[in-house]
Amino acid sequence: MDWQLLSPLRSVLNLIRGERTRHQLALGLALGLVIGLLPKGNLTAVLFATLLLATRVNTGMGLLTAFCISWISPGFDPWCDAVGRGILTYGGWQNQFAAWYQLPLVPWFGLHNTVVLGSLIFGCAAFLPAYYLSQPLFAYCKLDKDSQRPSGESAS
Amino acid sequence: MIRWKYVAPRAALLLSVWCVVSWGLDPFLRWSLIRIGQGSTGARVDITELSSAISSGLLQIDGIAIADRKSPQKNLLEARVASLQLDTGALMQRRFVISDGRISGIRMGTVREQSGALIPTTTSQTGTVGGGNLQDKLESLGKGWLDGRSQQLQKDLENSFDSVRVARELGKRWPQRYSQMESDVQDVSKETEALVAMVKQTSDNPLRALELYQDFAVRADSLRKRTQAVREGLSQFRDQIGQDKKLLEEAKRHDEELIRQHANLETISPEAISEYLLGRELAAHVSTATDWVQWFRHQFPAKEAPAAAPVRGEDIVFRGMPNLPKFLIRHLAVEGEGILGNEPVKFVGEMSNVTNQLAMSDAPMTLHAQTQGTILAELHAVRETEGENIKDRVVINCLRFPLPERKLGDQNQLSLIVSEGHAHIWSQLEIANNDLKGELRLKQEGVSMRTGSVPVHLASFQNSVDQVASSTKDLEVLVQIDGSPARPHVRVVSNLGPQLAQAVRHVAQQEVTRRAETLVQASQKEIDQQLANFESKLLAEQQQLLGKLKIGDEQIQKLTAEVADRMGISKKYFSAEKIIDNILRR
Repeated sequence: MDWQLLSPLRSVLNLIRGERTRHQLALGLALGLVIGLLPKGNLTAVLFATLLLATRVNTGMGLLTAFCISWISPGFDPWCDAVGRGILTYGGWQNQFAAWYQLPLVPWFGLHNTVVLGSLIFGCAAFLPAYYLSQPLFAYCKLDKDSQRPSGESAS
Repeated sequence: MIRWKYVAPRAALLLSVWCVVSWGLDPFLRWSLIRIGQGSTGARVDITELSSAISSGLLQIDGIAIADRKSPQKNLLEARVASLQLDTGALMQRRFVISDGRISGIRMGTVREQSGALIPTTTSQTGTVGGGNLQDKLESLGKGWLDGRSQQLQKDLENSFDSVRVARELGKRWPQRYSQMESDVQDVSKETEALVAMVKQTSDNPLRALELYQDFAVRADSLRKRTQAVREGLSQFRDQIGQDKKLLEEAKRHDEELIRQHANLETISPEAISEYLLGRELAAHVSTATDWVQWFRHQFPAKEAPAAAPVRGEDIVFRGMPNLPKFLIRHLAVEGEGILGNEPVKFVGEMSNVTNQLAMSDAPMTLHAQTQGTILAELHAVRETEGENIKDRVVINCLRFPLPERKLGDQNQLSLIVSEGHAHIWSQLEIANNDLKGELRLKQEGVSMRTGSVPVHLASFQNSVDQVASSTKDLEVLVQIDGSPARPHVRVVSNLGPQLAQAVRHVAQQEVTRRAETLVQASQKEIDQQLANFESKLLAEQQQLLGKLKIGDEQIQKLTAEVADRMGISKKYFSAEKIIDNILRR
């Protein structure tokens, strides 16, 4: 059997299990958190998912986090809804929002939905704390490549 | 320098996504349309092929077949090809707008090779929307008036006759009174016999005899008074019989009036006759119209159906921004063929502004279709908003609807045979807030009619019905419809109704009067005979009773005389008080 035929599949698998530095794992977790919080079925979620797949972050950590957060994210809807509604119904910004909304493809992002906008804001707000707080956690659990490297060898 | 190790896997991933979208979009759209269609119709939806061009927004669907849920072996609707032009600009705005479209080769009621039921039990569970009930109801609306009339009248009259009631009362009261009097006479007789025995046992001892005679005098006096009372009672009874007979005469007069009222056949309504004759024929038209209206309202409900999955958040409509419907067909041309009056007809039509969010639309939803060929029919349907309410209006106008020779009414009862011809059918239905209101008018000119059948017991109708049938040249029917689409109420008015009702009134008046008079004569005869028997028997027995009383009187007088002799006093002074006075004087 020609194993060369399976090389693209191997590459995809490597994409998921690769990129295991502390920094990449933390970025994957932070992106997964945003994706998990967002309601699916809009281009905003697709955009973040594409970002997860297209950048050199740990895809596996991102997908795992997105999957887990998706289960509990409806529980945050009341807070997300309140934040999103507050912004979207603010009188001074109505004309600007209306102008943006009428641009091509913008409605597909779903940002006129109170929960989508609220989740996005919550996700963005939680991005940096998740990134910085998770790094020591990965080091403690020795999940990253840096911790698994023999002592004396420096990270590339 | 390109880092192929980084680019290659991502390029492979993107390529695979592109392949899936390119090859899988059409099957996915086809699958989605079938699922949506089956969900809304409750029956199988088949699509032979679907092809889409995302860039131009063109969608072509070939071989559409929507099965009829009520009869799964038939298609509710079949279309050869549907070409839909999606508005890509609106699609960018997340709105599915079909700016223009055409559905060709529409056929209705075609036979399917495979059953269209989604699950085997579907057909038995669904039943009819309400048309079946309406049909049954219309057919039976006027059916009872003919056969029920004479039979019911008999029962009604029997229960309403005052003479019968009075006679029944007398039949109970007179024997009771008579037996009471008979009992009184017997008591008088017994008392008389007791007095006779008492006088016979009188001893010679004067003191004892005095005591006994005194007692005799008291009892004899009481007996005389009682005899007199019984005699007077008998006399009163005779007078009472005379008064009761007058009462009976009064009741008879009342019964005659009742018969006249019943025989006044204003109660045979022309509507009942119209419903009886035309109910079966009109039921099909009305139920078909209401079934289609219901189907349309089910497919396009007045209020948007709640989402199957819980909706997260709310879509905000920004100030000054038009709130457009999510799904809209701006214009759709339709062309096909159907069956009208058992004849195939071709039709063309167009729909505009079709949406399930009409409140967000700036124009009413309309459907206009017309037939081509020998049968000229036109359908115009409009759905518009009135505040928060939705109002549907459907107008059907068929200028030359072919009608075959047909039999109106029940062939086991009264029926008329109507010649074939063309009718002008016009119908308008309006539905607002689930209130249905409308009418259907049918006019068949140059019609010839003849009597189909007349029930045996109403054979005298034959000539009158023949006259009406032969003199009727136009058949005009008005069906007034109200209620709700699921439970429509109908009222049928036709020119046949008043004409037949008039004829029937004349004949039926005689018939009903004859029957009623026969009935009353029979019952009165029986009553009179019974009363005469009873009266003659009473008079005969009354004479006997009076005879008995007379004998009793004579015996008392005789005994009184005997006792007076023994006491040595005049009979005329004989009484309890006078005996004591006599003794005291001595």
